[in-house]
This record gives sequence, structure tokens and C-alpha cells, in this order.
Amino acid sequence: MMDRRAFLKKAAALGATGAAALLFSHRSASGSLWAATPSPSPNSPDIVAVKGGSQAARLDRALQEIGGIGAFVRKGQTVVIKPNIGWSQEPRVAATTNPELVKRLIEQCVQAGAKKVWVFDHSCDNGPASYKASLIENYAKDGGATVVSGDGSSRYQEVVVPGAVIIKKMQVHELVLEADVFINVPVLKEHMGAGMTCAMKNLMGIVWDREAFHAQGLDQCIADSCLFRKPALNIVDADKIMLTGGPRGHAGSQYNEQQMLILSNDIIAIDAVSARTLGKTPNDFGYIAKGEERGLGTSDLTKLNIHRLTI
Amino acid sequence: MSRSRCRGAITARAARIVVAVMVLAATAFGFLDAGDAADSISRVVASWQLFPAAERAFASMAAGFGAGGFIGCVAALTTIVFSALLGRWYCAALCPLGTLQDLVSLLRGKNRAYRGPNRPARAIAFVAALCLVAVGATGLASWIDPWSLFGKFFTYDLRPLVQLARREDIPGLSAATVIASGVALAAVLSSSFLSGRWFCGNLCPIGGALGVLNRFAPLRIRLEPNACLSCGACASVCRASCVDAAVKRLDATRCINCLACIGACPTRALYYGPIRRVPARSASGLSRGQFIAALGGGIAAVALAALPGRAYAARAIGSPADGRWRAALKPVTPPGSRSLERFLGACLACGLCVDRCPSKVLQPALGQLGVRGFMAPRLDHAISYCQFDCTACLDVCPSGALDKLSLAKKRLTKIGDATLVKDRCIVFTNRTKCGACAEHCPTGAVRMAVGDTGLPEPVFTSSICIGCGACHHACPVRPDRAISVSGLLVHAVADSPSPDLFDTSPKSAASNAFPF
Repeated sequence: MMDRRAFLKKAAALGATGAAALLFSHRSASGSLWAATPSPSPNSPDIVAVKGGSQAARLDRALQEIGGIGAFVRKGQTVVIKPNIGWSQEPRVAATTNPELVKRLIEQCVQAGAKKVWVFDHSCDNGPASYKASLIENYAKDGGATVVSGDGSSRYQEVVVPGAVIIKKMQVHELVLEADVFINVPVLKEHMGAGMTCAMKNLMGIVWDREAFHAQGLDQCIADSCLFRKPALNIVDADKIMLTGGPRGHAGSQYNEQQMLILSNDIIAIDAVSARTLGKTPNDFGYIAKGEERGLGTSDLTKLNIHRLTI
Repeated sequence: MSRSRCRGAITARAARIVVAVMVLAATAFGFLDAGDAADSISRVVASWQLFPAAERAFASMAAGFGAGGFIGCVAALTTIVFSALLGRWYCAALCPLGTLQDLVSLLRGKNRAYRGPNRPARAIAFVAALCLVAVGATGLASWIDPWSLFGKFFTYDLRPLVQLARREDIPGLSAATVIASGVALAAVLSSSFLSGRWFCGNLCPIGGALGVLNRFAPLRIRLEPNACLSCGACASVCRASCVDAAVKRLDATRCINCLACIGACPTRALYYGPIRRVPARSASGLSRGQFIAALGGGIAAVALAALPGRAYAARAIGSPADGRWRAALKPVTPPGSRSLERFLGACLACGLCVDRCPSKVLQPALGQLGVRGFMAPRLDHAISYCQFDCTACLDVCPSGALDKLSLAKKRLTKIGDATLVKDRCIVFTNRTKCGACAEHCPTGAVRMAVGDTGLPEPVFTSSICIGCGACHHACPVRPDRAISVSGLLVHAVADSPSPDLFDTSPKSAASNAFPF
């Protein structure tokens, strides 16, 4: 996909961007969080939440609210979309990101002129089975994306994680290094290990060796893994929220039908409101605080400009 | 000798070659590709292979006919009846190892000569295979079974090469399996290079059995001595080295009806069809009726001897079931194998299930299943875990070693049981969150509940654990894991998970209001 020299350059550039983001993040946290991106109007929201309608309609409305996908995806750019395809489960179980949402996002990227849109996840269950059962493979292809395997260590490259406390180096999927635009599309649900899985936890799926995360302290490692490359956008599928038996989902799992989509470029803020949606507080999840300490964003909802829309 | 008969033979030969090449290509594709098409193709090709089909029929006779056994009986009986009437066509058309040998022997060119049979080798190989199967050491017999030799080579030698080329990981690759499978196949192919179908005529037990049927078949290739000039044209193209032109005789026990000789014969002394003159006495001194009665009696005797034979052999050879495990964890055999003992009696270690297993949790046993289970599949949870929604191994197993369970039944088949050692668990030792075991558990047998540590702690319920190994695989603790799965030597049925395993207290209802 890229030669070694190009790869090293890109990795170095990304590392530098990450470090810069860290240096300036506290300053930007007080102002508009969109400032770092080549984006929109002065009164732009930090978080957009849309309720009602279909997955696609919610996404369209949320993107419209922040000035359209064009603010993030420029003509000729490459995009990598990282949904949650962790489990070999059907969409009705809501253990994986809704395939219609993924498809609509891809269509939006393509309409904005993206040269290439990739979709991948490092699944927990068998990769091909999870891609298939979640329907994400089919829907993503229909939408015009290239679906790439997350299996196989050879697809992962070792990177230095700037500012990490434990995971100072990790093996990251090559597409996260290669793509111009990185979009994180988690599904919100309860998680027996981490408490909640949403935007931050979803980034464990760009990493090869997850066992190390569990062995060395899950909360700090999740926060560390978010330091490498900040997604340009986090889009949370909060349509049918699994409240018990997560992350895999079981026969007795309970759900909360919220019919909601949440969008932000602040991974801490979006996990903070997602915690509220799950009926918890941001303090219930150690990785949110640890990420905030590293300057990844703000969990203080009073400081955030939230646009709540119903369609 | 009409001209039309010769043309018929040429057409039949072309058809045979097309079928043979298609079977070889399909089998190779089935082993080397990873998609759904390869799954279906392997299933069809493998189910018609005679050694596994016979084993499936045999195993099902011993255990009461199941659905899988019935298909095995149909496949095996069809081939046997077909061969008894129309001759030994199987080896030159349906056996992928046969065609592979033909390709290798083509490298040498067609300057062949007659060779007599190696009667001691043939007798020893046939009796050894029969005895090994009868006593439940089928995996050992598989080393002279063409299907298993072919399968092992593709699974443990060729597929890793393909994966290497595709930059894929090759979990569990071991030198022992690469070498054992490679050397066995190289030996067979060397014999093909030197002497065509020598293996098929002298070692292969399937070839031996079909050879006898061919000898007594009403229709087969025959040599009419009165028309023969002893020119040797037939012998030079005969891959089975079975036409002795000098004495005008064809050894029907080794002829595979490849039909090459018929086209080569200038006087049409060789033909496919019924006998044209009254036979002198048959070589064995038995009439056809006597022979068939004897063969049927022999098969029945072997079948009857099988059950006590297998039980006795288990004791004599040293069954892994008798508690002599060195390792703390007992080996886990695939769902559908019912018990280790039955499994070892029926598994040909052909490698097809290992090849098709999507998660690669199925790995060939080296010593874990004992001598009889060398290279039979076991679940290696260090590498992966059995996928809850998958029945790939059951679907492709050609020998009946794995019952064709429905997905619903497979999900409740308990092949092992987990043991949770809290003293090793990260949550207790490091006081950090983990839950890797619970998040991977498909049945809810391992769950997290906030305990004295104030953190979610693992809770385990054995009755709904199916031994898939997801928890074992996911547990980050080393060297000994905090949760590990040990195999059940006799599989059981797990309870269905009850819907109240997880918190059932009423949750906030959906509302139109935003929750933040």
C-alpha cells in the first residue's frame, strides 16, 4: 500500500501532530473544539445529538448541523472508517455498529469526493464471520467502500504513542496510518469489562495486541490508545442501546431504544454524554478521566455547546 | 473389434480425464481457498472419497445409523456396487491423489514397462489397514489412505505456502506436521515418478479392495490373447504396469481402467467389456458367487469384531481416557466427536476440518491425543477459540468422526469445562478492570459482577459452559491463565442459559427527552 519511506514519513508526521494536539489541547478545550480542523462557523457546536428518524436521516441531519461532511472530507482524500465489528452478531443484537449508518456515512464521504473509503475493525470473534453477520461488509460495499481485513499481524505497524502512560508503543492497523481522514463510528453499549464501550473503547480495534491492554490496566491503556490519532469525527450509534450482557449480547440482554445519533470531534465529550445516555456518569469510567488528564478533551458538559435536535 | 468400440473408448478416456482433472482441481481449491464456495466443494468432494465414506459407514454401524452414517453408507455402497459391476473406475477418476500421481508420472514420459505385483506389500498393507481401523487406530491407517495423504499435504504443506504468499499469519505451524505430511506425500509421488501407479497397486488399501472387485467385475478392461501380438505398445502406456505383453496377460487386480492401453493397441486385443470366451478357472479358485459371499462375510466379521476390538485396543494401546494425563488440562476434541475414544476410532486426520476452521482453533495434535491421535484435530485455545455460530468442521468431516450437529445442538454441546482461579485473576491481583473472559463468553457462563474489590469480578457457572475456550483464549494472565478450559473425554449437553443471568432490574424506559 505504501512504501517504507512514505510510511515512516507519515508515521513521523502523525506523531508530531499528536504531540502538537497534546500541547495545545488545553487551550482549545476552552474555545471551539472544531478549531483544530479546517472547519466551520464560529458558533459551531461541540456535540450534535439527533433523535428520531432513520439511521441515515439522523446522520444527514447531524452532518448538516456542522456544515456538512465536506468540512472534514476534501475532494481526493482517502478516508478510513472504523465501526465496531467486534462480534459475530446480527444487527438486531446491537453489539455492532448499525450497517445502515455505516453505509450512509460512506455515501456521504463518496459524495464529498473521497478518493477511497476503507472500512475495517480488528474483530474479537473471527473477523470474516463478524464482518458478515453484522452485515457491515455487505452494506459498506454497497455504499462504495473497500472492506479491509483486520486479521493478521502483518497489517499492523508499530508506532510510538505520544504522551502515553503505559502503551508507549503499539501495533496499529496500517490504514489508520495511511488514510487522510479517520472517522470513528462506535456503537454505544454496556461492557462487562470496561463498563461502557463507546468512542474511546472502540479505538482498541485499531490495535493488534489487545491482550496487553487487559494485562496492564484496561482504563489507562484505553486512554493511551486514543492518543495516537485523534479521529476527525466520532459518530455514535445510540439507536438501540444494550444495557446488560454487553459487549457481546446475550439472550437476556436488556435494551434502551433511544433512536439517537451523537456526533463530535471530542472523544472525551462524546463518551461523557454517552455515559449519561447509559444511565451512568463520566466518573464511572476510569478511562474518560485518564483521557481527559492527557488533554484529549473535556467531560464537563457545562462547558460544551450541545445541539439537541429531533427529527 | 469394431471401430466404433475403439472410438467409444477414446471418448470414455477423454471423459475420465476431464472428471479426474476437475476432481483434482476442485479438491485443491477446496483446501486452498477460504470462501463459502470452497466450503461447499470440499464437502461434496470429500463425502465421496471411499476410505472416509467407508469409515463413516462403519462407524455408524457401530453406533446405530445416524444421518451422517447413512450418507456414508450410500457413498461407499454406490462406489462398491459400481466397481463390482463396471470395474475399478474410482482410482483414475475420483481419487485426487491418483490424478496428482498421474501428473507426476507424466513428467517421466510414457516409456513404461510391466512390473509384477508386490504381493507381500499388498497383503500386509491391506491387512494392517483393516486391523488398525477395526481396533480404533484409524488415524494410523490413514497414512496409507490416499485421501488423507492428499489432505494432510494440502493442509499442512501447501496451504501454509499460500498463506505465506498472502502475508497471512499461520498460527500453530509446526515442523512436525510439515515434515510428516510432506515426507509421506513425497514418498508416494517419488514412487509415481519411478513407477506410475505403484502405490495404488501395491499399498493403497482402497486400491486393493477395488482391485479385487475389478478382477471379478463383469465389465472391465480385458486382453484377448488370440488377437495380441505381444508388441508391448500397451505396457509402454500403462501407468499401473499391469499389462504383461510378453505372456499376453492383464493383471486386473491392479488395472485402474484408465483406458490408455485400448487406444495404444494396434490390433484391438485390449477392450473394455465382458469376457468373450469361457474362462479357464479363475485364479483364486473361487467362483464369482463364492467370492462375493466370502467378501461379504469378511466385511461382516470385521464389523462385528469392531466394537469389542476397539474397546480392547483402547486398553492395549493406551487410551488417553484412563487418566494418565501428564498435562493438567485434558485435550479438547471438536464438537460432534462425542467422546475421545469414538473420535480416535473414526478420525482419519485428513486435515480438512483443520483447513476449514475459520478461527484456526483446530490444530493437529502432536502428542496430546496419544499415538493413535497423531495429527487428529484438537482445540488449541492458546491460538483461538471455537466460534459460537460456526459448524465448519462438522459440515466438512468426511469420515463420520464428527456428527453433523445442527447449529442449535452444537451450541449446547459441552466439549469442555472452564475452571476459574481467582488468585491468578488480574482483577484481584492488580486491582484493575479486565473482563476479557466475560466479554468473549458466548453463553454467559462467565459474567462480571461488582464484588468486594469494588470492581467487576468474574463469576462462573459450569452448567452453561460449553468449553468453547473463548475465556481461556482471552485471559491475559501468564504463564497459567486465570481461567482455563479442560476437555471432556465424553462430551455432554450444557443447560440453556436462562434469560435472567444478567441484571434484570427495570431500566429507564425510552423517552423523547435527551438523556444529557
